[in-house]
Amino acid sequence: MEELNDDELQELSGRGPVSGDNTFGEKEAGDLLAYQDLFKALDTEPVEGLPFSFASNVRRKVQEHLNRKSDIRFNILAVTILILSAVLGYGLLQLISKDTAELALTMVLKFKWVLLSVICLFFCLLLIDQRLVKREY
Amino acid sequence: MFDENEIVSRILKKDLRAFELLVKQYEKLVFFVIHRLVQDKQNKEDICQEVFIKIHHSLPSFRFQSKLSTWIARIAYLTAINYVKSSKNKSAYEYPENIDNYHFTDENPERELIKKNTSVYVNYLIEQMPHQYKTVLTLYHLNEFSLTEIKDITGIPEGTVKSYLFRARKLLKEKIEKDLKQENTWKS
Repeated sequence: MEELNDDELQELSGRGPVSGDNTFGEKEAGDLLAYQDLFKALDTEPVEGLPFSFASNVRRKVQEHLNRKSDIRFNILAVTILILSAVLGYGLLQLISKDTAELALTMVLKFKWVLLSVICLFFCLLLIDQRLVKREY
Repeated sequence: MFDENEIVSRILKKDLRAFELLVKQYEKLVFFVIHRLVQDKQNKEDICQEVFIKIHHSLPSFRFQSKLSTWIARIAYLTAINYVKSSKNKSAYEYPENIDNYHFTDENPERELIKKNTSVYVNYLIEQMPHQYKTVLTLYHLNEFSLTEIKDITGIPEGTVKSYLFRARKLLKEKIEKDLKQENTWKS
């Protein structure tokens, strides 16, 4: 029988157990056996693995990520609505009564720090609520 | 039975239970790739999580041009390679530029202890190999991908994948044979 080189021996081992009909030289038979043992070891799964709860942990992480994205979208929307309603309110007041509009603007400017603090407090509470409250998934 | 088309369409409709099923189905595949390429034991789970978050994020762009498992393995492989590159300076092992010249180093006491279990010893030897060898051995033997699929996952030409696979196995076989011979000589 023609001698097999290393690559051919590997091909042969990869196909599974070799039948007894084949006649190999002593060195080839030894190499084939060594490769078969190596293949068995290579096919053995590692002892370590991921924890049983891995899939649900990943799901929770993805859910948190999605919630964070929707929270950011909600906050941007809230700020936009607040600004638009203020502008719209002022515009409507201008149409109805210019004096009242001016008075409202003066009042807003007079109490600007109070109003800003109230708005900031509102958004701080909103952020705290979004960050600290644990949701059930 | 796991129907990947149905699962993907459910995930795209924001069904997170379907995503959990996908994670359960492919967690072994991802873990095998990460486990072999990343040395840092503590970060393996975090990197696997990162892979699945990337999968969830990129799923809308998956067009079924390949098998889902091949696509997932590619994301896992690229994530692992990026991690290895970013932590290269901290790495305990240094690989030669030309991996064809790679050879195992000499004995150390730790190796003597694990030699008794062939499977553990083979894994120990693989840990020291360049990442190209580790990748092809893992994808071919543990994840049972074909050479063409490994080419799609790693971007390495099919001929090179085959040569890495054969050379890696030859190196391992020769090393184990040499060590066994030495052990028998010491015993006798």
